[in-house]
Amino acid sequence: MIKNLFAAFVAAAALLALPAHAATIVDTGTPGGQAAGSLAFDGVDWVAGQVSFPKAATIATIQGHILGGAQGETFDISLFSNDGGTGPGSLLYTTTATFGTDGWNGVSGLSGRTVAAGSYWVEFEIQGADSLGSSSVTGALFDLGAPNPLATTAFTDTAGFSYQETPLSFGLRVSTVPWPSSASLMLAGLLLLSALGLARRAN
Amino acid sequence: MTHFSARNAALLAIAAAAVAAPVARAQDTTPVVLTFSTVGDSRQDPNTYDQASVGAALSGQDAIWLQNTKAFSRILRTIQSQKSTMLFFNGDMINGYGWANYGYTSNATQSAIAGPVAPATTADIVGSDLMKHYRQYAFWRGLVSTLPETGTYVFPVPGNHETECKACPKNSDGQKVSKVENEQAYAANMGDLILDTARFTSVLGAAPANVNYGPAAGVGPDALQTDQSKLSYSFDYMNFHFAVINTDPVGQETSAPAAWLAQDLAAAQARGARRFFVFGHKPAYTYAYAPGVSGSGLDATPTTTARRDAFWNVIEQYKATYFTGHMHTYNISQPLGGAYQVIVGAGGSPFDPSAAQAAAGVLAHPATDRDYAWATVKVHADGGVDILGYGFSSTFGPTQLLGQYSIAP
Repeated sequence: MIKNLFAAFVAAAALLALPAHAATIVDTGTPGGQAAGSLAFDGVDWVAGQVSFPKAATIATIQGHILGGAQGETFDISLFSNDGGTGPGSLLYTTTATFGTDGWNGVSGLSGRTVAAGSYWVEFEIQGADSLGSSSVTGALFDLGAPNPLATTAFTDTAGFSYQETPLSFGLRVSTVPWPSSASLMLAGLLLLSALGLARRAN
Repeated sequence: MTHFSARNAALLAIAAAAVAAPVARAQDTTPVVLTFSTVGDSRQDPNTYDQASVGAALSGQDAIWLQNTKAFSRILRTIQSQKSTMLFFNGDMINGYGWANYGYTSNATQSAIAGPVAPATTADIVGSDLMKHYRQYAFWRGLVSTLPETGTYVFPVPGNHETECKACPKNSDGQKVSKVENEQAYAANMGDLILDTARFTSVLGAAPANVNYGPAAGVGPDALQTDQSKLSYSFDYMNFHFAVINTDPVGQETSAPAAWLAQDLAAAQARGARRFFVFGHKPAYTYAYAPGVSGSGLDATPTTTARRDAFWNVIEQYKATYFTGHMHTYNISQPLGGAYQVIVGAGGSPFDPSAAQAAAGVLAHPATDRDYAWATVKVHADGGVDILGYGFSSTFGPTQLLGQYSIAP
C-alpha cells in the first residue's frame, strides 16, 4: 500500500515538475512597423516599461519590437525594481541581447532570472560595447502603435538614469515559466520521500 | 486619449501618408562615409519665451545667458550619440539683437536703444549691448566646447540675432539693419572655428580643402559693404562641398550672397565635388505652418524675394541642399520640387507655432511643428544622401525620428 502511494505521488510530482508552458505576462501586440515617428534608440535614448508579475516566476523571454538594427548587433535588457518613483528603481539583472532582423528581438532562456510577485521595470539600453544601430541609416528605433500598449512607460530625457512616465506604445513581450506550483509539488514529493524513508527505517 | 498617444497617432498618420506617397526610392545600401548634423536657434528670448514649453519663468541661468540650455544640451548629446562628426549651427546662437558698438545700450524689450554714451559706471559697461553680446557668445561657446574633444567639429553660421540691431531704424525695405560692429563681434567670438585647420584635421582626419573665405569689403561679385571673410566660407571635405553663407550682411539684409555662392559652387564642381551642402540662417521659402503666416525668410519682401530667386536658382542648378534656421520649427520640403530646403530652427528658441495655435488645431503638421528638432545627414559612398529629421516635443518627450528623405546618387 505504502509502496503504491509512493509510486503514484512520485509520478504525479514528476509530471507536474516538467517544464511548464511559458506564461505571457505582457504582450502589447505588434506595433505599426513605420520608421517615421518611431522612438530613437541609441546611446542616450532608452525606453522602459512597467511590468507586473502576478506571482513569483522565472522569466522566460523578454522581447522588444525594434527596427533599424543589423544581424548580430547587440543591446542590453535590464530588469529594475519598481520603487514607486517615476521610473526604474534599482538594477536587478542585465543581459545582452543579439539583434536578428527588424521585428521582435530580445532574450530567452534567462536561467536564474527569477522574480517575486510584484511590479518591475523592463528597460532596453545601448551601452558599453553594444553595437545596435551602428550600421543602419536611421539607427535603431522602437516603432509605435502597439495595439495593447503598456499603461506605464519611461524613457531617458537626459543622460544616465533620469526618467519620467509617459505612455508610449512601443512593442514589448514578456513571458515566464511559472515555478511555484511545480516547485512546491517537488518539495512535497521530497518531503514524502523523506517521510517514507523514515517510516521504513522505523519498521 | 492622452497627449502622447494623440501625438503618436499623428506621427503614425504621417508615417502612413509617407508610405502611401507615390515616390518610393530604394534604400541606399552603400556604406555611410560621412555623418553630420545641423540645427539652429538655441537662443532664448528674455521676454517672449515659450511658457508652455519651458515653464512660467526662465531658470536663473537661462535668464542671464539667454539659452534654452535644457533643449540645446539634449540635442547636442543625441547628435554626439549619433556619431556626427560635424555640427553646422545655423545661426541665432545668441539673443544679441543689440548694437555691439562702444556706448550703446538697448532697453529691456529691445524696443529702443541709447547711445553713443561713454559708460560712467560698471553697471553701464555690464548693461551695454557690447557686453551682452560677448557674454552670450561665451556661454554658447561653453555649451559646444566639448564637442570637438569628442569627435564633432562645430561650424558656426551667422544669424540675424548676431548681426542685426533690433532697435535701430529699419532700412528702406522695412528690414532690420545689420551693423558692422555686430559682424565684428561675431568674428571675434566665432572666427577661431572658421576654420581651425589643426582642430578640423584632428577631428575629421584630414584638413579642409580649397577653403574659400567670403570676400573683403566691397570686393567680389556681390560687392558687399563689409568684410565677410568670417561670415561666409566654404571648403571641400571627402569630395563633398560645404558652403556657409551670411543671409544678413550689412546693407543687404535678408539676402544671400548669390553671386559669390554661384562662383564658389562652380569652382567646386569643376574640382569634381560630388555633393553641395549650403548652410544659411534665413529660409529661402517661408514655411506656412499655420494660416496667415507671412514671409519671414529671404522671401520677406518683393525686393528680397527677387534676390531669393537668384539664390535659389543657384541651389537648384547644383542640386544643392539648403539647411537653415530662423523659423523656430521643423520642416523639410522641396520648394520647387527639386532641391531640398531643411528648416531646423528649433534648437531651443521660442517656437514660432504657438501653443495656442496647436490647441486651436490650425498647425499644418501638429505632430512636429512644435518639436525641438535637428537634422542628421548620412552621406553614402555612392554619393546618395539620407536626411533624417529627429526631435522631441515641446514638453520634452522621447526623441523620435520625425522623417527621412533620400536623395539619389
